[in-house]
Amino acid sequence: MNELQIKDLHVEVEGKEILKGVSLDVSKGEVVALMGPNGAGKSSLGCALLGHPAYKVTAGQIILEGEDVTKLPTNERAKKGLFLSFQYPSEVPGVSMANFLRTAINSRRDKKNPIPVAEFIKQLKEIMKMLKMDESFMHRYLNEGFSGGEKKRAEILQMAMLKPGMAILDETDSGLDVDSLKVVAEGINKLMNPGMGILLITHYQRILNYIKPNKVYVMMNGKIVKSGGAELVHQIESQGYESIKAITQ
Amino acid sequence: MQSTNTIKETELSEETVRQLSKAKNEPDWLLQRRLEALKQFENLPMPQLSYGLHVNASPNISLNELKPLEHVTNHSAQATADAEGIAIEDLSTAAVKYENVLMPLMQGKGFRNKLEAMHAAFWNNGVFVYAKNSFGNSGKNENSARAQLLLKQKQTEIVWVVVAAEENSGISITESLVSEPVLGDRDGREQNGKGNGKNYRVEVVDILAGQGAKVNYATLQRLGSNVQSLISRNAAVENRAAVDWIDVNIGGGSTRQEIVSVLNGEGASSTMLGAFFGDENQQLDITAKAVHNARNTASNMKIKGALKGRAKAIVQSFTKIMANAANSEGHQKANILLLSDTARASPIPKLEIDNYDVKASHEASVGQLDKEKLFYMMSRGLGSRDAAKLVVEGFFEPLLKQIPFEGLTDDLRHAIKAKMEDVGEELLKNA
Repeated sequence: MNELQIKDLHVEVEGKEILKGVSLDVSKGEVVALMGPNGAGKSSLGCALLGHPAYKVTAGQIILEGEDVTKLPTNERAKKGLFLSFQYPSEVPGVSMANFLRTAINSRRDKKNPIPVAEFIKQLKEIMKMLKMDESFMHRYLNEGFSGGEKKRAEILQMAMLKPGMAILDETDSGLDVDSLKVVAEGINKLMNPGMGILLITHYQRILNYIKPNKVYVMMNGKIVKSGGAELVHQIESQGYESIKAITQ
Repeated sequence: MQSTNTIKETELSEETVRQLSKAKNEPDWLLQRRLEALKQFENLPMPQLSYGLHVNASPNISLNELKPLEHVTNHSAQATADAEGIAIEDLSTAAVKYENVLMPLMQGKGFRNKLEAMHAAFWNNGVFVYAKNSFGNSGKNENSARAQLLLKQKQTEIVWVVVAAEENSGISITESLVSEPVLGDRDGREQNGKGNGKNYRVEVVDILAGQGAKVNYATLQRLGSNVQSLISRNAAVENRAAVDWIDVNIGGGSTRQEIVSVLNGEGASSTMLGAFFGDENQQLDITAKAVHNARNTASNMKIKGALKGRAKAIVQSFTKIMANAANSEGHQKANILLLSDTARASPIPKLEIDNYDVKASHEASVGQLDKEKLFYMMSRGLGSRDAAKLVVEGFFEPLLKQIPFEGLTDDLRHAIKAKMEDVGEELLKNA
């Protein structure tokens, strides 16, 4: 069963059509890469999947574990296991990373059964260690003053703590130097499990040297123009998006 | 002509002044001060209470509604001190006991307007806090003593708090302003609009911080929405002395207040941390002012506020560095968050600098809840209300961290949570 099914999704932003009928599937235990040049609509798809209010779905469906979530509010989609690692995560001054994550975890649990603080801290420390993050990060205000690389690590940290069934990673490799990219990619590989699917949105093949996709989709101008196996990555690497454009036209 | 007649018909008369002074067993010099003020009261014009370009906050003050005689009790301020070397007294009683100290401090200043003179003539509730020079020159005087003032609002409170901190003394004063009765309600405003009538609070705080003294003055205002307040807090800061204000406004109907530190001595400093959260029809008109009148002086004013409902706020920060204040530093910052489409705010930063060998900065902002932030937080599972609550708590948090009184920060956190409970759904729709 395909855990995330996107069926003929049309999305508008301020009256302008950005996604023009996108269909793709991601199963659990699978990494699906969504590649494409700048402005193809990849990040818009991420926003639309989580229900960003500026992205209006005009047609099509988003099915998560067999349930149509197209009209659900953002937080309900999150509670059903959808996660978005943001390309540009918001900074929230005055709210510590630990406080935020604990609130987020508890928002998914029964009100009478919040996560015990000791257990939470233990989990948090373990994952921070894996991602080579200093423990002081948990006390820092959410993303405030974080470098680009720190923000991306913090996103993966949140993914690890929230244990989603379906994670959309939007340009997680951008802003990372080679060493950080390795740490983050290794972290994602370790976190990957049969209960989770990943939709990896990326412009470059760089991160795909570390995380092997099961499937690759190429998006251009708001449409999926090609899909295939990992070999597509190499074609894009050697010949660029132009080659795919030429073939599809 | 007409206004004079109106006043004659009210309690604001010479007879009232004499009755007040007699009931409080005041010494003759103090009665004379009141009578001098009364003369000026009769002649001075009313101040301009309604102003503001984009935001107009105007307290609704009718002089003939003031009833200073209704509440004349000594020690009506519940005051406690917890250290040797600190005295807290009813101000009228203290005027006899500490005549030498108080006579110069209670000298009628040049009143700027009718209301200031009215206060000096008709104050009905006074407190004197005296920090004596008992800590020597050890320098370990910070927060060495605490005083707590609990001031309960009656129909008309005309309050005068005088603080004298002698050389090298140290004192922390917390002032709690509440409306009666407080029934453990969410923020002391349970009788909002429930017909307790219009109440008035006219309050003056005068602090003299002598050489090397450290004074910390923190106020938590949780008055009912029926209270119109006019508040003026002033500090004169001598050599190496420091006066640090903390000012939290949660309640009140209309509050107009001014906090002024005059840095008169070399090395003097003053900080001001202000926080407010207005809702419904609350009006706040807050002025924070630092006057640098000597070399090597420092001031820092930070104000954070949130408004919802139809609340309005005017926030003026004014740093004035005089020509004789070389090597001084003055900073100010005001950030206001609007949580409804009908709330209004106007921060007015002002710098006046007459010496070039100084450092000064200012920052002012008014903003709404950032929808991208809310989306980000909701994408992790938080409901819109919880996300908004967290953003607002976070907005105040850096300021709260700087407040050295745990009780006060807890009260403020509690009030923020309570006020966030009914943030309008329309705000959270992210549209």
